[in-house]
Amino acid sequence: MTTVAPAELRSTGIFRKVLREHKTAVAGLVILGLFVVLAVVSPYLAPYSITERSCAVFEPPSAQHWLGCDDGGVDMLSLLMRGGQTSLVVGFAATLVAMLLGGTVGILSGYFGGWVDAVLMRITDVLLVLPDLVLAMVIAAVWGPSLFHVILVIGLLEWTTTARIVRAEVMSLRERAYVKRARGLGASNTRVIVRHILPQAGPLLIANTVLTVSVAIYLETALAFLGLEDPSVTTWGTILEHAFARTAISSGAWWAIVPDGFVIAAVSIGCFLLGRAIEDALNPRLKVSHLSGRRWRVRVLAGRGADAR
Amino acid sequence: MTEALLEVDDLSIHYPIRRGVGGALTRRPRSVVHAVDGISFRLGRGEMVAVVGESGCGKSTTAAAICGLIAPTGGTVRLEGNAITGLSERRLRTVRRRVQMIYQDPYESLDPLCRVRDILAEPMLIHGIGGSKAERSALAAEALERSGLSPAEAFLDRYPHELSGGQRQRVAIAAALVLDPDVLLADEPVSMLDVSVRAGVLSLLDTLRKDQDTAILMITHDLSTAAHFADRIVVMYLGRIVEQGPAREVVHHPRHPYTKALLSAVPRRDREQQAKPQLLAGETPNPVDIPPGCRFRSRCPVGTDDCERTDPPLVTAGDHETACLFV
Amino acid sequence: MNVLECRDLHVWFDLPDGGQVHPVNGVSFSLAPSERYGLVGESGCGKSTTILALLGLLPPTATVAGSVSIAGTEILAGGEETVRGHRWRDIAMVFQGAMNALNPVKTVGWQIAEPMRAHGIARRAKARERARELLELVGIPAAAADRYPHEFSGGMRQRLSIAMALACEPKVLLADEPTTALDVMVQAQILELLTRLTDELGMALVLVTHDLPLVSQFCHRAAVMYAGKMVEEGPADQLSWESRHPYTRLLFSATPDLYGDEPVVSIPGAPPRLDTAIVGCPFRPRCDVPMDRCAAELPLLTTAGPGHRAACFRTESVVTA
Repeated sequence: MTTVAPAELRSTGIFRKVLREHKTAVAGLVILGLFVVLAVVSPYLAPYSITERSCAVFEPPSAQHWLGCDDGGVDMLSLLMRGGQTSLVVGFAATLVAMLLGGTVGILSGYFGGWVDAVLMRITDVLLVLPDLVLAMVIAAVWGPSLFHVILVIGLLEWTTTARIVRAEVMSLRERAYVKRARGLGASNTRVIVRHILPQAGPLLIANTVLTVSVAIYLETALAFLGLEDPSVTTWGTILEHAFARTAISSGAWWAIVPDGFVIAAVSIGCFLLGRAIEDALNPRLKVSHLSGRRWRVRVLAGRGADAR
Repeated sequence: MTEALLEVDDLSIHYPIRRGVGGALTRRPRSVVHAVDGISFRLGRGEMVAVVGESGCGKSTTAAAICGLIAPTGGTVRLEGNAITGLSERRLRTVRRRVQMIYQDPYESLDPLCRVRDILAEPMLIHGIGGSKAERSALAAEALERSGLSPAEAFLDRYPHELSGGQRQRVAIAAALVLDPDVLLADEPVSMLDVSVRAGVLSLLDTLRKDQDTAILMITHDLSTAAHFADRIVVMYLGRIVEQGPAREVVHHPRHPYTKALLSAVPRRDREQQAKPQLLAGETPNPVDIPPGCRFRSRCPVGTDDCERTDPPLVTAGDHETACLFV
Repeated sequence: MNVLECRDLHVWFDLPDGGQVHPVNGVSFSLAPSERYGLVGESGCGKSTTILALLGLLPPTATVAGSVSIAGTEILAGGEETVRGHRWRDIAMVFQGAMNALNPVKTVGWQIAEPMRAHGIARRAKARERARELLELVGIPAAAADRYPHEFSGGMRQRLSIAMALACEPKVLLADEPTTALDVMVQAQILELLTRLTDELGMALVLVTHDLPLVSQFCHRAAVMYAGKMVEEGPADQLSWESRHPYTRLLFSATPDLYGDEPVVSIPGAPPRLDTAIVGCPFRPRCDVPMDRCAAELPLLTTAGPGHRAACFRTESVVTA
């Protein structure tokens, strides 16, 4: 009756465990790390300025311009690097908003239950039901397109999923014996939440957050593509939007579109690998099961044929 | 003569069953679960009382009510003469210091992300004991030593999953001792531990009550443990006390048919000496639809029609009470 | 003829970090028809893994060695393919938490009939009828066949599990702590049912439990396991009163008796880890009568009396090979 899994998942220990057992997690972390580093050093490493022309319109890739140029004669690689910086900032910022809001709502809802839960969940339901893009368009139309608004919109759209997941986890944690014991000791609600529930729900929140980053970046791309973002800002989304708007496809300038899509996909995959690995680590029963194709094996022990009967 | 430290007086805990929309519309009568239905007993200083009974008899609910986790529907619980039920949360906090609970599952009742040091510090922080970290550490170490975990320093920085079941239960006991409680409620303290470890934890509880004069209320379904360690046994059935008295008395000279049947069903090492178990028909009825008259009537081997009409009162013979018309 | 012969059973589990753990380390025993055999031990001793291995219900991380034969037919050597045909037909199991073994969305009658359909023994009407017969056999009214598991109490669900296990008339029934979660009265009822079934149907029963007095009262023979090995085996009453292994003796001393007055004593220490090889007797660190020999040599099961074996150097009679 040895329950191994929950006890080993200390908040710090879990990451070591994840990295040790899931090679995919390492891959994910490496990919993400690479992009973050690139984003940070882009102002210094970008080969060309993105505000000045340095090549011909839609110049194909060459030795001087590895990814060619866009319609304005600006180096594509530099654009991607600068765009990555902004996109990642938007992605992380929006996710932070979603996580803080969703985490808080989820914890309060799950822990207190009753009317607190009812009210918060109805609010969540309303936001879940509203079509994302319609909401984004309305906000952009009313407040004007800007990066800040985009962050806000994405955050508002994403917190609901986090809230539901956290709420479910907190509701089950609330019933654990050690939580009841703490309350029986006379611990205040704050104390129970901060010391007993949050540390346990933390890893789940983090896994969800990592996955949300990829969604946020994707959403940013979508919003920019629809023209709801400030076009003067360079993000992966606006790069794509410019390319389409200025006939990159009919010009055959694939380098203005494909690399951009590729980096977005790469970041998404990185987040997915890392986030899923954390989730797997949190739920050990997801591992090898009786329903998998593999079977237990039979071994023949040598030299034991004629033992005492 | 031990004066009563803890008095439970006609305690009742009823749970209404939700009818739901369909039930409300069809005006179904509200059903009530009579988890505990008017029980009274006392616990003196340094005394160990075992509450035994099968699942659904209300023993765990009783413990939860004494501990302040559930509000009773009727009756009172008194600690040194002062009522501890029906108090506000603030007043209840002072009571919580004096009445502590040890839970059944040592694998679940300790926060897996907290070190032993923090688990022991928590009650101190909540109740304002120990002014500094050093002082709390010292008190924690002392409590661990008293619980048989020695040397204490070796345990303070461990996590629960690094300890065995028996050790975890001792940590739980230490965490309760840190508050120097008057009453310890132990809800099946050893049922989830290995056989070889149980005696140690039970002996620890025994030592506590002898040396510290702590009163211990032990909830258990294991009659052998109750017989061996407790001073008094309280037998519950369907929310009522059917028999209570000195442990040896109840076990060697049971009066209530339920107690007799229960004792006969306990497997014993000596196959020869064991009387054939008296198997009661069926199972414990639902605490919702409690039949009128004696609750045990439906399964009693010696009942008569009288039992269906009258709810048998407790008949006292010295220290030994029985709720049966045939005593 | 023995209905079950288990010889030198070993089970290994692969650990995620590459190592292996060895929870069953050379277990051998045999069962006669109608025999009730107790398998006793504490958590981690390997008793549950042993009976799961008999049924081939092991995860993919497991490796098995040894010979298991039912009525003379070897069932384990070929792996899952050979075991499957015998599973439930010749050897079946009752699990600890009955609620875990019952499907909440299927009626009870359907579930009892399922093994019959799976093995092609009976279909539809005949299976339904047989399911009702089985319900009556275990003491549940046949009309309950159309109910769902949640409508039954704990004790009755355990009876349902037993009925399900009996579906294909197995020769051997394995019961993994079948009464641990039940009240003492219900436990007595279930044990009485199992007694009746083994006597009337000629079925052999292996009862895995940590409850020693239960074994004394209910089993004909029993074996005590420790750290994956069998340390003592013999008639139940001999185990109770003339045990030949310190662990058995200490286990009984650690169990309070209802009327007895003897002090109850814990066994200090904890069972050894099973992921590394153990030198000498695995019980030595906790033994109260260790000898020097025990640290270096592993005691093997040797005869200590008629039908009674113990793995301890202090055992008096030693059989020369």
